[in-house]
Amino acid sequence: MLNRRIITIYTKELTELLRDRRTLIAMIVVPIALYPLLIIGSVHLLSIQDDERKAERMTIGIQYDPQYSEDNQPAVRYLSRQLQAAKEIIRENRNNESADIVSNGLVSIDRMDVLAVDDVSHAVEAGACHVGVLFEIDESARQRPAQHNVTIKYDKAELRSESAAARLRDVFDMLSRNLTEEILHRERLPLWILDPIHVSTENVATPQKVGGMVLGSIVPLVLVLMTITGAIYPAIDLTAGERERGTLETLIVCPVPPVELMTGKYLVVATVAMMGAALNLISMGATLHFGGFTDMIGASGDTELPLEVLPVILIVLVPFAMLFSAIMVAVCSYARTFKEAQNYIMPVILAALIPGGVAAMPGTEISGINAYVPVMNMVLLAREMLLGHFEWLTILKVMLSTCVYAGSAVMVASRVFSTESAIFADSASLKASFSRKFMQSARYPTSTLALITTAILFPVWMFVQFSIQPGKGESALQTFQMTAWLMPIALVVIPILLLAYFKVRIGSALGLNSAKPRYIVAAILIGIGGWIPAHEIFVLQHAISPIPKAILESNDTLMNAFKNQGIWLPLLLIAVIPAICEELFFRGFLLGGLRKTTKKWPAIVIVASVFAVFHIILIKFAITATLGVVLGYLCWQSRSIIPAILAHMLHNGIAVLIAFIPAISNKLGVSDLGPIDHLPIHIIAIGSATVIAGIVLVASSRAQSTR
Amino acid sequence: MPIISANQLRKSFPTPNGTLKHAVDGISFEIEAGTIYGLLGPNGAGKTTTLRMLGGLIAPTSGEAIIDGNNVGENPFAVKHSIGFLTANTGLYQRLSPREILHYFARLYGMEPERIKARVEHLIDWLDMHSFADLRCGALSTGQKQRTSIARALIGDPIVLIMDEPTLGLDVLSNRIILDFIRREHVEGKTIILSTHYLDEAESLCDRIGLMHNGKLMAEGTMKELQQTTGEEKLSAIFLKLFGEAQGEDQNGRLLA
Repeated sequence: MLNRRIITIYTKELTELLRDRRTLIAMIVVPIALYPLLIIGSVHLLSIQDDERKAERMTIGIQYDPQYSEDNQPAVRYLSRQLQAAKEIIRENRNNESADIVSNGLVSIDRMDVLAVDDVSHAVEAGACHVGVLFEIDESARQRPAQHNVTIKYDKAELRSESAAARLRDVFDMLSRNLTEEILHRERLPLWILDPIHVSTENVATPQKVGGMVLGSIVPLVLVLMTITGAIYPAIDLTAGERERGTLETLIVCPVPPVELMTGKYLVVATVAMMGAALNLISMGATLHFGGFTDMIGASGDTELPLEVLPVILIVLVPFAMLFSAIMVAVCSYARTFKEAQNYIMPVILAALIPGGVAAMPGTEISGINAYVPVMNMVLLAREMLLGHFEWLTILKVMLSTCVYAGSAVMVASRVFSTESAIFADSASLKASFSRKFMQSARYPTSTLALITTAILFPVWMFVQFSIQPGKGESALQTFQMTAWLMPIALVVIPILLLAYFKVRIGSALGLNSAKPRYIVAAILIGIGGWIPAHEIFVLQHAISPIPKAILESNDTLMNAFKNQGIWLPLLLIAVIPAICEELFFRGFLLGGLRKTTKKWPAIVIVASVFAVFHIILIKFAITATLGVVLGYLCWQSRSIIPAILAHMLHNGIAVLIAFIPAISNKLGVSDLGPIDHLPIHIIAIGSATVIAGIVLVASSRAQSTR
Repeated sequence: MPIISANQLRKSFPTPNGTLKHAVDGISFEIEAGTIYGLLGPNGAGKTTTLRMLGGLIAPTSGEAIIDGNNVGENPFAVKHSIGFLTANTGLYQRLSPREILHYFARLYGMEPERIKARVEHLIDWLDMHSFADLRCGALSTGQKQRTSIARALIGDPIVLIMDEPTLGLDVLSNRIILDFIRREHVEGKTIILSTHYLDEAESLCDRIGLMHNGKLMAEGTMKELQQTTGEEKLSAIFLKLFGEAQGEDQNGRLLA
């Protein structure tokens, strides 16, 4: 993969980029200097404002009573008396409270002015006073215990009014509490009667976890955005910038394949994005650590910065940086000038902000489809890690899906960059080169088409699967049936429509041609024996990383649901439809797309991994990946999809037969085996021998044909 | 044995309104080793597209071109190894020095490290670049940049030099550098194909001249042959005569319609 030329390009581009003052400013100066200033500054400012509001002079509006003279308003006198009483209470309580609270309380009350106005509501709304107060004062009843009603009017749209209302409310609460205590005292009742069940809460989270929670709400999004931002400048500079400066033609003159040029450039962008992310993380960590993390978030003593998680997050960010660098490079490759590239970048960043923002909302969890949505999965994963949750399955899901997206994006980038019209001509002809009219018919789809289709279908298919989960009134059987009926649309109809649009011959692209008898025999052998090694792989996987009980049980539920349906429905839904659809898509469309541009084994392994990733139940990863390799090999050698469909169908079908027809499992002596028990040794031997015979048959045919 | 031969070379581009434009419309010519060949024609005649196809920068729509035994369409990388390509507006990396640029391109050509050093020093000597070899390109004068570009084109020690409008928009001094260089390379035995629309330049430099118009080769031969076929003495007159005829056809077609 990495040859000398790519390294040469990489080194040169990085050198040149690092000599650019703009890169250095964006990458180093901004995170190192601006960050601490920004974070500390804004937090500081907020807390200062908050403190200021608490001690600000506030005006309380009181209804003017025309019966009394202006300086003898009873309501004003009443309120002034109440405020005075509140101050007395604070002074009396001096011994029980800290000096700060006492002085703050006194200052707060001292800075309340009372003003009589004609219309309280109107005055508050017009801003003549911060809050208004309405009393029902019954002077005659003052000595009689009864409830007093006080209404505080405030303007919710005004921050000052709202905080003034809170201040005033505190005063009345204090008075109320004091009155209650007095009454209790008079009636000789204990104080606890106010609080017959005293509830107190206690935090059991470690300080690191609390810190992680606080960080998790904002840091992942900032990191993800910083990584994306870090990729912008180099991506533009290395593609559109190169074209604008006229050096691209010089570069194309050299005997270097465009893919290598693109790979070198892309790796530089990814490196810079990673360096940016690392610097951001370090700067942020240092700012939080030395800048007084706990003070800054205004938390009490039991909060601590989980510093040791930060390097792990950085490692997980690697595939993410790879993904966004690839997207940026691909997008910028279309642009001929710096300005044009900037215009193209904007929608990409907006598109990234939406899932990122959703993920940053509290309550969004990394489950279901969320683990596969780009940006969102990264933000959520980083948050989980900050909370100290390390679920390897989740990490694997996020990393694998991100890698699939990144791979497709790189393919697009190199394709775009090597398009003649993208190098020389104007945008009109670039558009024309994508119009159907000028496409030439082809036997196989391009790898770009195959990979992009896969990358788009993947989240769509995940979404379909998750949106028809059981529990919304449907039974497990119904949802399973729905998935099976949707599969032909997603995996067969859509690719065929795309092939038709891009003038690719459907027959050759999907391998719809007959295969030599040798391969049919091999397919039958592999199909018949395959369930045995598959089962053993599953058991092995369980031994290495135990499969959660809930998943094994949900499998049972599904099996039970099928029990009353006879044998044909499960055969159709589990064996026939998936075998045809999955083979046409993975071994047909995708492998066909890679046939021209990729070598045999890399192509087979890529397709097998994608195949495995598509099976969302990752506990089946090992089985599907292995099966994918065998089927890919079968298809590649036979140049036909038929043997792969046959083998796949037999493999699934036999598993169904064993599970549903007791006579068969009894005969095989596997009826009382659980899903995680080893098969009898003679069955393992027979099964492995059958599969190996099949594979040898495929391999030997190759030797024959080369001879 | 010609070192370059083009046979029915054609390049078509799709246009926004959905038709195809033949930028180069089936041209054929041969160039003998060690000669200078000039492609002449007005803007948009297809000179640059022709040179780009010869250089393996773009693939021909149909037809073929062979350079030193390698088919340009089938094996562009072998072709790129044996040619040097120079254009007037060739950009240089502003933040690298000429020496760094030469090292970079030498590595891209897959040269061995020892050979790179020798070759770079040789070119710096030969083009008298010592005074500015370690300055950033952004700070160089036009003439210095021009010499750097030439050195860059020569780094792989090519047997064929393709020059697209090498003197376009240059001042007198830079122009001199280029013309001197072309003559020196000619003496060294290199084959040179260049495009230009400076007629006297072509007349004084080129062994053979091809006149292009609307993607087609209107006439081709030595100066003498061109003079004989058209009965004109000066290249400008030959040019105008051929060009006028073509234009006339065009105008007839358009005016009479």
